[in-house]
Amino acid sequence: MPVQPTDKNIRARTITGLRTLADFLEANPEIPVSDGGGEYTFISHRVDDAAERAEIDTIATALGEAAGKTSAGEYSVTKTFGAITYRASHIPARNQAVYRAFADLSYTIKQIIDVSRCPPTHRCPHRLSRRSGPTSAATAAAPA
Amino acid sequence: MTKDIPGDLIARTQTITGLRALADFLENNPDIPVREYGDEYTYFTRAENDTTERAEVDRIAAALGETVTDETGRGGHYTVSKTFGRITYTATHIPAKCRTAHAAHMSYAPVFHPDRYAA
Repeated sequence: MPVQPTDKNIRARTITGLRTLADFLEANPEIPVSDGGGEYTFISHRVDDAAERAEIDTIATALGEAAGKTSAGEYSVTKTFGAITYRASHIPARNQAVYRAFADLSYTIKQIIDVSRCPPTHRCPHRLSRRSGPTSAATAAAPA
Repeated sequence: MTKDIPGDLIARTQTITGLRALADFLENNPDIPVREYGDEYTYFTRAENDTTERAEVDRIAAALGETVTDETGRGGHYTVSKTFGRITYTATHIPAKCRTAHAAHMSYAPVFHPDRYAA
């Protein structure tokens, strides 16, 4: 059985929200919609990969659709409702680790770029933290 | 004589019908999980330049009766959102400069594709 949100109102509010948005778009044609449709995505969060895969299989059975591996290496099942797609996905732990490594690298590069753009006299947090490293090291290495 | 149906009208009809069909499906199938923190329906502006796209978000904001969030000064997006229960409609303008930076960033993504590190 898939894990359900602890608050039962969440399901009701999701269902109501979908209908309210549909009503709103119908009543307000000046609000644009996406040509490519929209996607409602559920990501499995269980104790391990096997449990998450099993959850996707359970959902696939309930949806009456086949689950499979995506080009990104995720294990997913989708069901389409007009221009709206429901997707349930399991992201293997190894993939999550790789994505995190990419995000960490991106963050580090952005920090380096931010520092390089700061004017020498600007006392921004990036420059202060950069200064604190060498200064501390120099202090520690100084003879008593 | 056949009359052309505007593409936008087809997309709008299929979106509205789809939202209602998904709502009905979730109501009738309690085993299908929903997201605890809700989800977002996002519309991205597509115009010839940043100024026109910004103006479109401003127009949508006026129609939604909501205030625009401008994070373009920090390299971010220009967005407006309206929440319906656990579903949020968001219209987003991504400045050309931001798209270019993202494309440069993602050019490194293939290096991090999980299949490259298969056990």
